[in-house]
Amino acid sequence: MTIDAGRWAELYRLEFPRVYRALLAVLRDRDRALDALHDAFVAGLRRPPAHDADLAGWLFVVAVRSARRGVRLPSFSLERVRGRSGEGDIDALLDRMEVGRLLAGLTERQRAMVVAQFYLGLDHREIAAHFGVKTGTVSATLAQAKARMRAEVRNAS
Amino acid sequence: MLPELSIERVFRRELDDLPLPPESSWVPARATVRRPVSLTAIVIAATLVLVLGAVSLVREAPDAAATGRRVTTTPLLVIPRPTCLRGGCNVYRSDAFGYGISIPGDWRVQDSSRLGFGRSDPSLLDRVEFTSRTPEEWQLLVGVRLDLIAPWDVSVEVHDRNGFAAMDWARSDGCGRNACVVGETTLSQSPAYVASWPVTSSLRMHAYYIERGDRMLILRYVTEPGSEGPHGVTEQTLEQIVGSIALN
Repeated sequence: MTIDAGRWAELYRLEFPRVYRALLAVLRDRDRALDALHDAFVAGLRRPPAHDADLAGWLFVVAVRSARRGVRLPSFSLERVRGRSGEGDIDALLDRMEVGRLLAGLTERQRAMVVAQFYLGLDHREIAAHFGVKTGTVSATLAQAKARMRAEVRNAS
Repeated sequence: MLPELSIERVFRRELDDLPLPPESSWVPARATVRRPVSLTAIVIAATLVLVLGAVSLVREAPDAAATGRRVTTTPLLVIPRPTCLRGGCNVYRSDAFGYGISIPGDWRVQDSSRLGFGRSDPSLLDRVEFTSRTPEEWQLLVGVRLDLIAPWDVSVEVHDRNGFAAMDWARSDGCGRNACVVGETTLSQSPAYVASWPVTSSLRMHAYYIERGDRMLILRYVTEPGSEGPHGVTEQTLEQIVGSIALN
């Protein structure tokens, strides 16, 4: 069934919290996460996914790709100079979390796949389809990521 | 051990605690649902006009001069300092902001400043991006976003300095929050503060800050270490462009 604009907005609103948080965990930057998700929303308006199953995975991957395309221009902010940046808060928050510490040692691509699996609940086949890679690549990437996370757990204990 | 079920639980429990932005910044209202399509179309159309404008800016120096920016296709010799790149180059001059910079002959001006002007950064007075990409390649890469710098492009920004020193600007940009390498150099006989820091796991920002009275001139580019840029662009190409700047 084709998703029209109204339905798309409704689905986006439903999925936003989960996908935004997943992006925060991967990108560790509020502005990048929000911009990337907005881009994914606009991409969905232009060419919606074929069906509304697993929409979170679709939004997540389109947003991750969008975040990689260019680098957001920094803008001068007195608060940043004074060290009261919102981004700092997210970094600090993630650093205090077990998840943040586990993800910190991974590459952005590994983080994206780990978050897709453990937070968004996608299986290897779904992750492969969304990221446009082979299932074996997903398995290998996740195996490396888990090995790193295990090492992190060992070091912490 | 890292039992997967417990990891999933930890991920859900912890990530669900992350704060969301205010609803007004992301909830699409019914009245605006259709607007993004038309708005996007407008922005795309405007960007195309902008791209065509930028191309004509390069080709038609007299028109450009009327707007305060001047581009000449004369050999580099007419500009006091810069080095010619890859055998041929164009010179971009901004009389309004007092600088000139030379770019390789196969580069062009991607003027992305007009639509996004001051939108997210009130201190921004002017911004010009130089790219080796064709308008179509650039459009594909960046889409309708005007607050991005494409990797392997060079941008020149002019800001109101607001009394802050180059080091403060670098810190505000991201230097310090990330592992940052800083240094000093001279560009067109003016001292410049140099900073470089990772913006993602694969991209690195390089920025040069030059204090010019009550203004701050920032030259920046983003590289992908270990990779080559489009059309054979290397970090050396970008450094040469930065080094070619001539300040009035």
